Amino acid sequence: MLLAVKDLSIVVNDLAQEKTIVDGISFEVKEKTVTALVGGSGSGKTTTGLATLQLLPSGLSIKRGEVIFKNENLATLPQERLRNIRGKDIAMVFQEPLSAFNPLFTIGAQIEEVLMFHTDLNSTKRQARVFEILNLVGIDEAKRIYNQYPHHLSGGLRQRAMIAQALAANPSLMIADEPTSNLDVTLQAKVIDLFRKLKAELNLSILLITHDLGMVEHLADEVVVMKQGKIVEQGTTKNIIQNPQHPYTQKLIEVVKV
Amino acid sequence: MLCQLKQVKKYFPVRKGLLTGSQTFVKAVDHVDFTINAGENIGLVGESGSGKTTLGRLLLKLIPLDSGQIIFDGQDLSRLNVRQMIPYRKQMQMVFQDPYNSLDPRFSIRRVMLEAMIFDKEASQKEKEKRIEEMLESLRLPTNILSRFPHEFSGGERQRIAIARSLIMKPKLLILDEAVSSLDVLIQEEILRLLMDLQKKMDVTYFFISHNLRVIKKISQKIAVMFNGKIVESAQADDLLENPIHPYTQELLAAALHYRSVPRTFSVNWGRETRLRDCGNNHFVIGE
Repeated sequence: MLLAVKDLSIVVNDLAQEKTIVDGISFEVKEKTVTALVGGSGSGKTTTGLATLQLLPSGLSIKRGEVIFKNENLATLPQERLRNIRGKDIAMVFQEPLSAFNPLFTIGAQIEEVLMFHTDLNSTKRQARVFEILNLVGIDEAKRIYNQYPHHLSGGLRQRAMIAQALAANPSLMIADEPTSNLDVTLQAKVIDLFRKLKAELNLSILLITHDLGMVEHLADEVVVMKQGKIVEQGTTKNIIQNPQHPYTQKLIEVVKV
Repeated sequence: MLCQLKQVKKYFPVRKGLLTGSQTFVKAVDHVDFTINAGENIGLVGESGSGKTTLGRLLLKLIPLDSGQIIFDGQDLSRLNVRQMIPYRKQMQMVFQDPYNSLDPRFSIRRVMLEAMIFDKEASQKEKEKRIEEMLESLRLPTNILSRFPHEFSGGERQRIAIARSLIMKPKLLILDEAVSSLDVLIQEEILRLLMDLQKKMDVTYFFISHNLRVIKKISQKIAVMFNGKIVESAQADDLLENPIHPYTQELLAAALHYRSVPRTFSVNWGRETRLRDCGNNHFVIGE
């Protein structure tokens, strides 16, 4: 097992009254599998993803529970140790790539930054690695993209560049939060294809956070369905899609049925 | 027939050669012919940059067209000036993708709704208030929200407010430009259902613009596929989904319904002469 979330609770603590938004959830991400965290807006799926790397915004905090990764509890690890894990062992991909990149630096420089921090590669080798990883995510003109700024790229290319950045240091887990929601369906399909390829070629596990069970059906091995901070159903994708037990899961499947 | 587009064209200039003075254009809408029948919802589908949003804006004359005609209710709108457009404005409305930007943050919901009726000089204040109440009710919004402000609502609620605003003048044509794309699948479904329920009560036709065929097929009787400024295929919804002819339509179907990416095989060298070819059963495809 790669990642185990155990009895995790997250609360809003800057209100007069403490409010629980993730309520004692437990799930696992196995090696070389895609696990999907599914739910509507406000289900707590994004918050859970952020909490695994202690990236919760101010006002939210982990009340109890553990996030076990390689025998360490990420929920209590000090920030300096986490900095070595973020990007190296666990990478994150966000919904909106324009705000995730720094507009003042080229794409190449920002991917290289990851390598500078996490590896001992020299400058030539770093650059070679950036080209390699850009090719891997399906960007053919790696040399041109390397010197471009985020705003030069189209939405689809930007999303690929961000996936490239996430993968630069060879992480074993990628957390992807709605990675395709801002893309049109043709580009969505390309990103889903890319994820399948990455899983097969890189021994990568993916924690996919999404509201679209249709996409889950075509990509994930295991599914965790969340509603209002609680897990209502979990299991293998095949079981959940073919035989959903909870009415909420049934509804999520119903609305994307073709 | 509610509305007809004839050879509608809109090019956007992008670059001028420094020495040659030659201008290049993005052909956003490239000599498009198109008919909207009353009561027959139309879905316009295409990827980003295909020109579908520009087409929607041209239809409402939110931007001027380069050439061609837009005939609405027997009148060629392309010839009308701003003042002459006023009576037509209330018959055609639009709902935008992002309800966070389309509602003024400083306006209470009451003001948002009243502003939409500013050209209704006949109705009294009391009548207007009553219509607002009815409208909110049919969108399942509580009427006690009138003094609240847009930031107090979730994305789905805001989009319902935007729809209420657009329908309050009882338009004949409502253009929904990616109106549910930023919402999660459950809220998407809820809004689509509301729209279909409303249509039973009101004499309105929807022109639904989206990149996602899965959403479009739920609400449209007719579907048109747009690529590079041209309509490449149009047909009755069931027919198009079952017998997609153009490779681009097939590509969109594979992506939207099966989350599968298909390599692009077709080439695009359509001149302005390229027209849609009738394949029978009201199914039209571009090219030979």
